Amino acid sequence: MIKWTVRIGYLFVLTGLIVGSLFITSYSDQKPAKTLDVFCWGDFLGEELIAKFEEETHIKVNLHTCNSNEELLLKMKKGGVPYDIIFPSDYAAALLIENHLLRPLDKSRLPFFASLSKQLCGQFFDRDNTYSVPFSWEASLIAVNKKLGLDTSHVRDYSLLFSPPPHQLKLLSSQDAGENFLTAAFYLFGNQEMLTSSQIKEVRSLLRKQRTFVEAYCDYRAKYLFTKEHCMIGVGKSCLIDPILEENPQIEFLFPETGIFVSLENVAVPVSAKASEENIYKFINFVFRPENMALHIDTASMFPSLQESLLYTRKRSDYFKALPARILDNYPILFYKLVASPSTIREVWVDVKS
Amino acid sequence: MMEQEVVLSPGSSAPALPRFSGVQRFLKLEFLSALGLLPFIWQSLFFFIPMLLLFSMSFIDNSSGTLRFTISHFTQLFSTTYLSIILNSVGLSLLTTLITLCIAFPFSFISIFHFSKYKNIISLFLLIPFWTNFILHIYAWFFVLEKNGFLNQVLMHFGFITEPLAFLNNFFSIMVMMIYYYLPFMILPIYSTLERFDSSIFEASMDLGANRFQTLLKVVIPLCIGGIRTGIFLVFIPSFAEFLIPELMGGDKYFFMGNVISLYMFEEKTLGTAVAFTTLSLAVVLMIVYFIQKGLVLFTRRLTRGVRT
Amino acid sequence: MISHSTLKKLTSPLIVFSIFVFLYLPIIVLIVYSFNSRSFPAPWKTFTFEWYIALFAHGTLWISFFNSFIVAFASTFLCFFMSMCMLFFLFIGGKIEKQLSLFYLNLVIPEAVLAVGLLAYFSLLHIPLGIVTVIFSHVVIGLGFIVPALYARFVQIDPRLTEASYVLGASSLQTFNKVIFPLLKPVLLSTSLMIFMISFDDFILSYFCAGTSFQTLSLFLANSLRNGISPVVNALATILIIATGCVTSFIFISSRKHKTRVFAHD
Repeated sequence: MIKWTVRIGYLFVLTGLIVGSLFITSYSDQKPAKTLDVFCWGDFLGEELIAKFEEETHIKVNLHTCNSNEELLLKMKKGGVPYDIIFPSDYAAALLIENHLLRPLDKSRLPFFASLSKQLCGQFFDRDNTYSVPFSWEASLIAVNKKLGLDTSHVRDYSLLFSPPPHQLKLLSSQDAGENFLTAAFYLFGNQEMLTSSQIKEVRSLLRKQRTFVEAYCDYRAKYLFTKEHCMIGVGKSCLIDPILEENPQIEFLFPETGIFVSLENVAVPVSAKASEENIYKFINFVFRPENMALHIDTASMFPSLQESLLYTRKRSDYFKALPARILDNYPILFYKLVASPSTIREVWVDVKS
Repeated sequence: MMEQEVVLSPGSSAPALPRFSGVQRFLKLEFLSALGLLPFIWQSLFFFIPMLLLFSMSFIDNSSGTLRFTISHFTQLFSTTYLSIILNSVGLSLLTTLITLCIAFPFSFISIFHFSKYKNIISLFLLIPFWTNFILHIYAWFFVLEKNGFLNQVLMHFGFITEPLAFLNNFFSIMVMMIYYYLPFMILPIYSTLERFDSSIFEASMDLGANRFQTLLKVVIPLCIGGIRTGIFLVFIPSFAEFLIPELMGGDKYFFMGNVISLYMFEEKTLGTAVAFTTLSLAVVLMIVYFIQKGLVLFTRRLTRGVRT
Repeated sequence: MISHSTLKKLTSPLIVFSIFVFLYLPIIVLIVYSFNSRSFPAPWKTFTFEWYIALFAHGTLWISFFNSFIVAFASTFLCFFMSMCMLFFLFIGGKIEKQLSLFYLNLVIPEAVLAVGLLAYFSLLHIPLGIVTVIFSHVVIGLGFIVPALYARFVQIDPRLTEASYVLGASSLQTFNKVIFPLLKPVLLSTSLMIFMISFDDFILSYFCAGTSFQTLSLFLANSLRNGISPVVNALATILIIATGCVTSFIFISSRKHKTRVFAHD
């Protein structure tokens, strides 16, 4: 009898030790008064920016990174570390607002708001910018190699991406299921609220057809594939413009007249934020200062929502610096608005590739 | 658990038991028997429970906030899309297994019987690519297969082709990488089984009247069937869930089981589907494995028909 | 013309040779180009060490290298420690033959499935992902190697050896130290090294279980694939391959010397 209980006792202790050690790396409950938990993409804010903020305000910043909006949404829903400031994309912000996970922002404490590009404010997910403020954005353009000799003076829509390229070449498409689906949907049907099932079927068959002349679906090797001319046509994200043109000036970026797809990153404050309001607004005001936003532009190659900050950038070409105004003033802005549920999009994507 | 007498039988598998004094015995035994089960505790904590959890999650519907038992995740999967993906994955694994087997067996056979002097060095050189980092393998094959890659440059230099061929981002490159990655897994078990033998087998069986081919069929293959079976399992089962190789080498144009799982894994709503799909695929794989096992047994029996062991 | 017999004599070496070419071609190309002064795919220019110098200046790379090393070391240590516990348990007479077969599953189950299962498990228990979760997942794989190998070798030990040592007056501890343990050292060493290398090179488990703030070398390399081919990565690849070659030779030679099987499957 004794033998058994002692044995089981030891087993429990051991199991407890193992499980306990799992929580060694977990967050501490006490938050020192001067800390901010910021959650954003990997290379988004950059060490220089954070270091500058910490030096100026003596507030410690804990940077948490993620790779996708889905991760952000998942972590927000699960709880875990209560983040103080997050940078959701447009559709992620829409979902967060729907689920009442964001705190309303006090515009009186955000004096820079008036100077932001008007075309970026008041978008579909947050008409009055109550919960979010546009921070930076990137555009998906069409990249074409001049050697193809295509007539690029008048690009109306995305037909270049959905018709077989000349000379049996193959094009490069983005990796994300949503981007491909929504671009195809826009190309076929223009701006819609929600797609009907027959429309979804059409999108699917278009994507299947497109697959036959796609070289690769990838974002990460896009720069390499364009500069080494493995792909002559494809989706060109604006963040790659400078690196690509630097290595291969033969590449041209085209702007479809019907609309340019844009991914807008916003600043928002979760309901569960623990830090003091004062610190939070200090941070937000800090990153929106032109010279600081310029640091962000240099690190992440995004377009800023504050035109003025382009004057302070160190690494961007003139071509790049002229683009935000050029795009915003001349072309309709399109968002990756979910015109079909994410699960439908994913199902179609699986079907296209099977 | 503890026996007082020492078991003294030749060929007993456990070593003789140590002698402890009373208190020592109590402390050491109870404490150590708990400690000794540590691997099993770990195994349960981090292998069995997660796998059981995974399995059970495929039956649970979490969408409405409460947990409900459901088989909707599974019924969702019975559409042509998902079934064709499973079929593709099975096809890929079977093809990989077959090709690696066809390469591995002749290779091992020749190395051991024709080059028995060098068999140690050969097996050393087999191990080195095996231990090299996976991503480096991918990187190296990009290097070789790209439009401006090594292979194309060599072919153009020698005038075999004028335009670079597209070796990458298609099914060819996926297969090349799969074979490259799984070949050591197939060669090593077969090699280590055959290592015990040498040409004297052939001499012996030819003395008894068989020719070389018959020896191969009726003696060598049945002897290393264990290694062949290990090799098949080490290649077939893991290659089924492979998603990195198709994604990186195939330009993400083809979806296999692993791709679907990683696509659905990271979102809450679709987690159930991902897990159900994993369970279903595993079931398919295990069924096929069962048939392969049976097939191997039948095959061996046929080969050794008339051969008295 | 080549005679029929010469042809027959040539086919065997040809097959072996061509398979080795297949296995080593990419590796050799990688290594050769790490010394090229022009970035691939430009043809050979001049021999240079500049990429190696650039490699040593690269900060993030060394952090992830260091991380991989720590993870591999910790996983190996944990596997070693647990198998030693099990060994002592076997030594004092425990029987685990029936439960042993449980460990065979670890290696057969696809890593992606294991990773998915562990990820779901960790997120359900709200365990934060990071270095600890990576280590714990690698240990699962490691146990699948070390436990069956150790057990197989242990039961091969002739019981008369230990009996003889008791007869000669050794205590149980001495017997363990001087009889059992030395006999098992080769297996322990080679399996531990194997686990170290598997953990160091592992990608899938690390990818799923590392979360976003922890990066191992494999994850770093996967990230650098982003930028296509860079000679700095070539240089790193060369160093890793040479290191792997040395470690493999070491395992190999030591296991041959003691006539133990690294890949026993019976």
